[in-house]
Amino acid sequence: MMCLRSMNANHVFSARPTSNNQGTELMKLKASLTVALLVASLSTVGCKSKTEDVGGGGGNAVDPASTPAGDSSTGGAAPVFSLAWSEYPSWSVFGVAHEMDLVNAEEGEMGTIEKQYNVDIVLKEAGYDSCLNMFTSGNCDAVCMTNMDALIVSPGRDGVAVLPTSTSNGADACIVAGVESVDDLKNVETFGLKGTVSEYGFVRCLETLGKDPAEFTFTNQDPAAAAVAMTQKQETHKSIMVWNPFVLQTLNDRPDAKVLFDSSSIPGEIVDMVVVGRDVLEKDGGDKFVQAVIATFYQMNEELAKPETGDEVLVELGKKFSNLGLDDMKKVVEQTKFYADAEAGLALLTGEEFKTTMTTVEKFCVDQKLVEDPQYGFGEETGKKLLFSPAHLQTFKESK
Amino acid sequence: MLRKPISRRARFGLGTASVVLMLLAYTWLSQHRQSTVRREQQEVAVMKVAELKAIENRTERQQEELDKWVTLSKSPDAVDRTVPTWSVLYHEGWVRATSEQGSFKRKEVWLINDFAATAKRLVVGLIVGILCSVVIGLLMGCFDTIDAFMLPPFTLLAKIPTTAVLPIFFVLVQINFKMYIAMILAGMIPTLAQAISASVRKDVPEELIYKAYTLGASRFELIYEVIFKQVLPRLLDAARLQIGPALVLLVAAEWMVAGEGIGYRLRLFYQRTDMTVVFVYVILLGVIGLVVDYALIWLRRWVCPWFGE
Repeated sequence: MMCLRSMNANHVFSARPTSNNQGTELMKLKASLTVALLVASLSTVGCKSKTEDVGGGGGNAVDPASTPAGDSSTGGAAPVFSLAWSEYPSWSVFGVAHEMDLVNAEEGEMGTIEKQYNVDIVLKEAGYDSCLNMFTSGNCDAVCMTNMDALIVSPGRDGVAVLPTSTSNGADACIVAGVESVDDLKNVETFGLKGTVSEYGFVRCLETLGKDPAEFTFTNQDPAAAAVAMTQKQETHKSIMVWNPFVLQTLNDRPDAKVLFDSSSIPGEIVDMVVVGRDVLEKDGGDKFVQAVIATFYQMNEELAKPETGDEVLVELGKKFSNLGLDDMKKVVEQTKFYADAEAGLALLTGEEFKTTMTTVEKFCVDQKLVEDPQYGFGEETGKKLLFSPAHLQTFKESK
Repeated sequence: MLRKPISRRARFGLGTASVVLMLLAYTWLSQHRQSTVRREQQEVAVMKVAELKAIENRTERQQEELDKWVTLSKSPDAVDRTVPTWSVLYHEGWVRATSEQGSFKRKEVWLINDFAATAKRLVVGLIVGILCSVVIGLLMGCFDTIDAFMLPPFTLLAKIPTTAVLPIFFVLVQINFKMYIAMILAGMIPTLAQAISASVRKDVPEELIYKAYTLGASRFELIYEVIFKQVLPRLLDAARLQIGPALVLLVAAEWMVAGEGIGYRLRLFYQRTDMTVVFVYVILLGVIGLVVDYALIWLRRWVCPWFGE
C-alpha cells in the first residue's frame, strides 16, 4: 500500500468529487447517519454517566463543585464517605437499611440517618475479598471485615476498628458425613478456604478439644464449592469447614450430615466488625461518618427487635445471600450473635478477653504466614497500624 | 458425499429436532434430580422417624420433630435447585427475578435493575471503544509512522487475556462506572484497532485512492469518504464480534466488585447454589445476544448493501 503522505502534496483539481449516483448518496447518508447515531448516543449516555460515578475513593471530602446538582436535601455540603460491605448477616443490615431508606446507597442522595448526621454515605457492595482489596487500595473509607482479616490487611492501610457487629457463635462449622468422631477426622480431608476464619476456626476448635491440629488435613477450596460437593455426596468430601449460609444450607440439603464442632466453642474469637481508615478519621466529617454508621447499625438492631417489623427485617436480611426462610434466619442470628447495642460493643472492645483473643489470632496469622509482625493496639494506644478503639462507641453512647 | 446439500425441510426438521432433544434432555435431568432429592429426603425421614419412635418418653420438642419427619416421610418436599424443573424455574427463577423484591420503602426488580446496569456499562464501553478503535485503526492503516509506533504494544496487549488484568484495574482505578468503561476499552482497542488497520490495508484498492486524489480529494476527504466507507462493513462485523469478549469481561468484573448487574446477581446465586435465577439470566443473555447479533448484521446490510451477505 502506498504511503498517503507522498501523494497529498499537490492535487490538480480543487473541486469536490461530484456523485451523480443516487445509490452512493444514499450510502453516504446512511454512513453519516450511523456515525451521527454513535456520537449522539455516546454524548447522551456520557453525560448521564457523570452523575453515576461513585466518588468516595479514599474518602475525598468532596469539593462542592463536584457534588451533583439537585440534591437540595443535603444543602450541597454533606461530605461523602463510602462503606464497602458484603452479604453477611450482620453486614447485610446496611443493605436493608438502604431499602428502609435509613441510608441511601447512592452518592448525592440522603436517607434519614444521613440527613441527621449531615454526611453522605455511599454503600459499595462487593464480594468479601473485593471489599478487603477496596479498603487497602483506598477505594473505600470503611469496610466490613473480621478481626482476623483486619489484622492481615493492617500493613496495607492504617485502620481503626470502630464497631463490632457480630461474633461467630456456630456460624463457622465443621460438617461431616460418615465421620463419627474427631479422631476419625484425621483420616479424611477437610475442605475449606485457607487463610480465613474457616481455617482459624478449624485449628482453634481442635485445640480446645485437646487435639493437635497438625494431625489433620485442611484442603483449600471455596466454601460454596465445598458445600455443593458435600450436598452432592461426592466421595472426596466427607468433611467441610464452611461459614453460613453454607452451614445451614448443607445441613438442610443433606440431612445425614451433621456438625462435628463449630465456632460456638470459641465465642468472641471470630468477630465481624467495621473498620475505618485512619486517614478518614482525620478528614472533615470523618467522625460524623463513623457516628452515622454506628447509628445505622443500632437502628437496624432496634428494627430487628421490634415484634412488628422484626421478622420482616430478618427475612429481608437473608433474602439476598441465602434461600433461608424465617425459621432458618432465626437460627442464623443465633449462630451469628449481633452486638445489638453500644453496651455490648463496648463490653467487647474494652474487655480483657478480647486482648487475649487477638494474641491468639495474631499467633495463628503469623504461624500461617498470613501476615508478618502485625502492629495492633487497643484504646488510646498510638503508633499502631490497627487500633481497636471504643472511643467512637463511647461518643455514640453519650450522645444518646 | 461430502457437503451434499439437503432440502430446506430436512434442514428445518433437523434443527427443530436438536432443540427439542435439548429441551427433553433437560426435562429428564431435572425430573431425575428432583426425584432423587425427594427419595433421599424420604429415606432420611423414615430413618429419623424410626429413631424418634424408639425414644419412649419424648419431650415436646422431640414430638414436634417426629411429627415433622412423619409428614416428610409421607410427602417429601425437598426442591432441587441445581437443575431446577421447569415449574421451579418459572416460579423461583422467572417470577422472583421479574417481580418487585423488598418489603420496605425501596423496592427493586432484579432483572430490570441488573440488565439495565450491565447494559449501560456495556453500551457506553462499546461506543467509546469503537470510536477510539476506528480513529486509531484508520490512522494506523493510513500512516506507517503511526502503525510502526502503535503496532508493537497493541500486538502484545491483544495477546493478554483481559480478565487476567482485572486485579490491576481493581487496585489502580477507582471502582466506579468509569472503571468498567476503561476495562472494556483496554480489552477492545488493541484487537479492534488492529482489525480495522488491517482492513484499511487490505480492502481499499490502491486505484480508489489514486482516483480520489485525481478527482481532488483532500486527505481528510480521502480518509472519510473513501477509506472509512470502504472498511465500514468490516468494521461493523469486527465490532459485533467484540461484544462477546466485552460482556465476558464485564460479567467477570461485576462478579467480583459490583453491587448491581448481571455478574453480581450470578455471584449471589452461585454462592447459595441456587441455579433458578441463574438459568433465567443465562437464557435471557443468550436470547438477547442472538437478537443483538442479528440486529447488527441487519444494520450492516442496510448501511452497506454493496458489501453483500
